[in-house]
Amino acid sequence: MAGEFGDIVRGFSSKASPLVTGLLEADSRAVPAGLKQQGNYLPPSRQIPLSRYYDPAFAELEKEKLWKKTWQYACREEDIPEVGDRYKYDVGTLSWFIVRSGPGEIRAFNNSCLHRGTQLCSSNGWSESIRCPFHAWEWKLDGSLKNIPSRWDFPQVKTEEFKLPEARVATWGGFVFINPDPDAAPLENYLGVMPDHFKSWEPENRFTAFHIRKRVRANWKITMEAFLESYHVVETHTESLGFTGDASTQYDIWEQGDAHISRLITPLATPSPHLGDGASIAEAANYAFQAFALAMPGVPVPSFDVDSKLSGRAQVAEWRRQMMGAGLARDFSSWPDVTMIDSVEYHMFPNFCPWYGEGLPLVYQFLPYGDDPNQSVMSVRLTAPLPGGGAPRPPSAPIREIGFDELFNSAPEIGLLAVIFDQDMSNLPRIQSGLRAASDTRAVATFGRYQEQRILHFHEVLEKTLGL
Amino acid sequence: MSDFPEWTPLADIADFAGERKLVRSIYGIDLLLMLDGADVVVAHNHCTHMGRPLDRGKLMAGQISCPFHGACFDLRTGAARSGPAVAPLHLFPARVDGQTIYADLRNKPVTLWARPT
Repeated sequence: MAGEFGDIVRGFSSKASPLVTGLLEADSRAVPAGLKQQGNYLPPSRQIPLSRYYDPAFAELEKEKLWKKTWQYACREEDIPEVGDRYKYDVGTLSWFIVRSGPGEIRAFNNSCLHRGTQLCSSNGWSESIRCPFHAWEWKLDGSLKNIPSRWDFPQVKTEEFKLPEARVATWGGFVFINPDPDAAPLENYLGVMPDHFKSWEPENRFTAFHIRKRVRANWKITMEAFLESYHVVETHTESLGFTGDASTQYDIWEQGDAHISRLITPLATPSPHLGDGASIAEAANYAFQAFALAMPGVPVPSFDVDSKLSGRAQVAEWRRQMMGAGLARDFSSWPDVTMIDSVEYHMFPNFCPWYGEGLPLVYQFLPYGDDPNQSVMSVRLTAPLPGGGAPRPPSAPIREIGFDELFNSAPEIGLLAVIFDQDMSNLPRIQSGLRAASDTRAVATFGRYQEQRILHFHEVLEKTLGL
Repeated sequence: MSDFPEWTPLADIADFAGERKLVRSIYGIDLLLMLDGADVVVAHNHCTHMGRPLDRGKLMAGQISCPFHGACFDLRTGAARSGPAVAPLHLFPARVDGQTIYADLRNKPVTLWARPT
């Protein structure tokens, strides 16, 4: 089929597995306008030099012109619920710490003592002030200088000039963002369509149920790009083809001034179009029942009801509404099928991927690790709706660190997702190694026009940001 | 080991007076008594990072954070869970008999100097 962007084919469907637009029209509930909205931009086709994934000079350029100049998601508000709580945020060798400096007030400071440069915050936690472990130079939580031991020995230090340097802080949807650039436009300009699209889902009324930080032997862009398309599902996640609309995934990009937002919608409980027109819709529903049941141990697992008036997708969604409603004492009866079961991932430049809906309620963050451009760290959170019935807000889950050579499978709390993540992780070091072994005549990446458009878009914005 | 008795009385439950932390100094050992849910935890009141007292720290479920540099310790094992400390917090075996809190202080931690205040 031809889409509105010239001759670009916008996804591949089968008789058994329609495109997302068709599935949204068939949803058993009203679908929010944001999910039906389509993008306004398609980047031109081009190749990307592979050197930008390992060249230290390119990483240095990113450090100076990207990470020091952009709005970036650092943590969630529930990570620092009480005054004095702090969250350490590292971007390669750059480091800030985010502090709940007062009721309703959050600040971000460079993680470096103004005396001789010692790191002020070594990990997440709490303290009543900001105090250097070397000589006890001390600041109040608002960053103003509190005390210098042997004050008589520092006549040149003017208290008002020794406030801790701050990055700008802003929040949206429970997410905390920082921007070290004092001249940057406000965060709102960068969020684009997201506040409108996420309004119906209320990301602020969720809590972190698990939080994993995985170190990866691949550049942060390589790691991130593996999660910006569903094109890899057919080879990397073969077992999920029976219930995943990989090739029928819809991709959208919104370019609006400073806002660079993209999205994918991968439908579940529908067979892959790769399985052909005769693929079983009943099996797709049954696979989906089983996959979601793995996240809800102990619940009875239904199977596709051939006599039901509901589609397989609607049956899975209705079961999810009932199970989640009972488990959380909340009413999900008006939530559409797409919100209950599909994988809807947004991307905000440069590295923030909040997912929409209960299908995969994840938050991804991709960051450089240390000073080696061949390494990165991927943060994965799963957020859950706040329980109803007046129950208190559950605490944010502690971070589980997973090393370079450890598997996601070492984190039992994430269940089936561990298998999927480990499949992705097995590719990443091989990509990083392979791209460095490319022939000088072919040291470029080539992208699919539709399914990999989000990666092309990211590079287009990155180059503009870096002044290339 | 020392000549201390096996179980030394430290305080009564009522001494907490609605708080969750209580400071005692017995046989010259600085102690921090904490209510962790229904359990009483008796710890050395010296952070293993810089030796600072922990009693103004933040007590959360199963852990305490040092008010000075943010070192955080597990109240069940004493293990340093986050922050700048590496060595575990010294915990003393404790029990409650009636209203009285006892601890076995015989295996006391080595301290080279009195803790800073």
